[in-house]
Amino acid sequence: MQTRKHLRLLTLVIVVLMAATGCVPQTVAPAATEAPTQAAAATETTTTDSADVPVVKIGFVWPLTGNSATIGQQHSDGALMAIEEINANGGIKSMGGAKIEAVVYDSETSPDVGSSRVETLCTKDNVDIIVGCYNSAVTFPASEVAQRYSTPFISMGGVKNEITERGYEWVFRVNNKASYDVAEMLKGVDLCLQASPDTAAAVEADGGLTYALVYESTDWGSDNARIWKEEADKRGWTCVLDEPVTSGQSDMSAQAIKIKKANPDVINFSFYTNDAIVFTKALFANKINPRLGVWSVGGGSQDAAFYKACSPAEYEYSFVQEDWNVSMPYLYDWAAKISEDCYAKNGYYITSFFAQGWTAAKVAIAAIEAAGTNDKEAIRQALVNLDVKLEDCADSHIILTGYPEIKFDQDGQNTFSSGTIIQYQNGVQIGFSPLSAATPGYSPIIPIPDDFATRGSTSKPWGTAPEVK
Amino acid sequence: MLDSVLLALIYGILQGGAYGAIALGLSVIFGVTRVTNFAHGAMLMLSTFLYYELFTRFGIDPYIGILLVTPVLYLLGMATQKFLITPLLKKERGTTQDPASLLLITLGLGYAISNLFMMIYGSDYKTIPTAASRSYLTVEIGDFLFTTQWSRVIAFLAAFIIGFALWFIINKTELGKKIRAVSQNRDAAAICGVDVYKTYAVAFGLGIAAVAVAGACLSEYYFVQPQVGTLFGTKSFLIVVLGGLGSIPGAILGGLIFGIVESVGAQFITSSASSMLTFILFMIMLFIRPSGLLGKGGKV
Repeated sequence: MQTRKHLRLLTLVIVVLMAATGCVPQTVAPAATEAPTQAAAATETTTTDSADVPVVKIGFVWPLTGNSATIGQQHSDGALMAIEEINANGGIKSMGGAKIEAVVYDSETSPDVGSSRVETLCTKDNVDIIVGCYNSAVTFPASEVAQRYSTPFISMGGVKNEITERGYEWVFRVNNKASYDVAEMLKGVDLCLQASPDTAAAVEADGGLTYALVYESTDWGSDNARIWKEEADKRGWTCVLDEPVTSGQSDMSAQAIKIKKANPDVINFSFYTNDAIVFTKALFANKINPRLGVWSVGGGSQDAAFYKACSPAEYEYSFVQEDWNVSMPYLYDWAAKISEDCYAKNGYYITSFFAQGWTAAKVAIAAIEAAGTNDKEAIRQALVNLDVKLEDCADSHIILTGYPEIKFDQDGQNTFSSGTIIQYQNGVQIGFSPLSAATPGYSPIIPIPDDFATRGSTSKPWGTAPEVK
Repeated sequence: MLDSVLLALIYGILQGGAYGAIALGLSVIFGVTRVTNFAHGAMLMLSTFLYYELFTRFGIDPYIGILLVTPVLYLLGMATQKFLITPLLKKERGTTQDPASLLLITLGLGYAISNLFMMIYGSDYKTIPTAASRSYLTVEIGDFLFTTQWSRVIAFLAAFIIGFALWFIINKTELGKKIRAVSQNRDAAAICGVDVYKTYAVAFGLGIAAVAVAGACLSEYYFVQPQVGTLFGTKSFLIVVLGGLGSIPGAILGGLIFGIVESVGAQFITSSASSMLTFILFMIMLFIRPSGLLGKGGKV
């Protein structure tokens, strides 16, 4: 009897622990899966003052566990802080000060789970609008569920082109699609060649530019590689390695050997944080030094966790396509203030992911404000008509990502979204493309120096602001 | 091409040794108790966090931390067996082997530990920047360059040290005699006066202590994160089945095969296809030799 009591107690403890983080498998405790992963926190931040004040519900699905967990957490932090700001400033004014309630779910970085969470938001939580899901592989099927339930869906993070190219009138995307990301990177490579005519001449003399594509094998990485290849082909560049990698590697020495053998001028990789760390360390250990650099299409390379796990020497000179204007905190006081608040609350200054979560939540709120009702069709129509400019965001703080404007085309794609190409120089992010986000006084370091013995020895800690020359 | 394959082979052997080191504990636990411990990966993760805390708070290198963490994990393993597994085994009264309830309870424990650490530490990737993790073994002969962290070499060697220690305990000590007796026939062992459940707890403790040692080696070159266990836990199962359930040399051999197939395979096909190869190998083994390469029907 005593043993049974112990067992029951232990089982209870296990179930409570699992439910607390929303990871109870359905087979074990189906009821617990329906609990929003951050419901407690969300409710705490969005409690209404009186029963008469209407409540607007926004559903969020982020990868809070799995390979993209650190990234999803930053999206979620941004979205919840944006909602806090609105609620603290009187809520939705066109709805009599309606307070916003956030319902946050964990996609577990899984397409099935993400889709099921969106279905729950539509059918059980009855949210007015949904924002999610970062990973393209999750966003693609999850947005289809929102379309089926005629619920406005704002895609944030997912870049797979087809997310907004299926004729879905309920699906909108604030951030870049994959073809925009690739275009920005290729433009960046062009700028590097212009900055170093000698390198350009050497590349030409060797028969033209060569590149290696190394990427996680789901929608995001594959789409990026496919589009890069299509565009590079048009420029006459040669692909010397096309290497899809299953996510979750504990060693990438095998991939490093292949890259070394292929000897490309440019390496383009797309990995989430865990693989990005392992890959970057493998490149450094094997002293792989392509003359035009290692280029990453965001993902793990935009994650603060990546820079805690890698040493400055390992990421020095690397190029990253950041999905926001990295100069925002230096350009706008209001963005600097949000960055300080973020540090005080979450222990890090704003990142691309925080800014994206914030901006997506603000876009959802702006649409509801414009609709003046929580009727879904009215909110959808408000998104169709939405047109916000960065220069008008001094009070609304909507575009923390620094896009010049947010306006959706007939497919639901924000055609003004843009990122920044940065290079790590002495451990500091130096923006150089587009010009609006360029760090004054700097140009890309090309060709990449062969200085493995001393690399990173004078680097400043990650997050250090560049000294504007 | 030969250079690439040779390099890949060396990297594969190193990585395979580390896989084997992690899988050893799982194999011992199964061999003795017939319990497939789905919390194995979570225990590995737990040990890496203990090493992380020891390093960040007291500056203790994980290799030294083994002296502190291994006894703790041994006791944790014993407690898991005593308070979670044994009650279920008693309830089953030996009528079934490896009942579903045992799988579920270890699975649940694994989830609980992972999520508890996610709640405490968040999802950040942490590293332990020790001297071994930052120093490299480099062999450069002409164009041939082999370079790897010393910590990966130590992880490889650890597989053999852990394997030998477990083999010695099981085959050369009085305790080992009891473990082997219980492994072969627990009812007969009980008749001979062996405390079956206490022996199970000791074996479970040994298996978890082994993974704690492997955790120290892993934390020297890999990151520390609450979900690290998922990756290595899953691989450990495949390795143990490939090498032979309950077989100590089988776990190391299985690890080496996995490491080599992943690394060398990737030189001829894409990395994602190479990862698939290991699963195909696993399935083939299940068909042609369900007991694994060096399996003895699951006994240690």
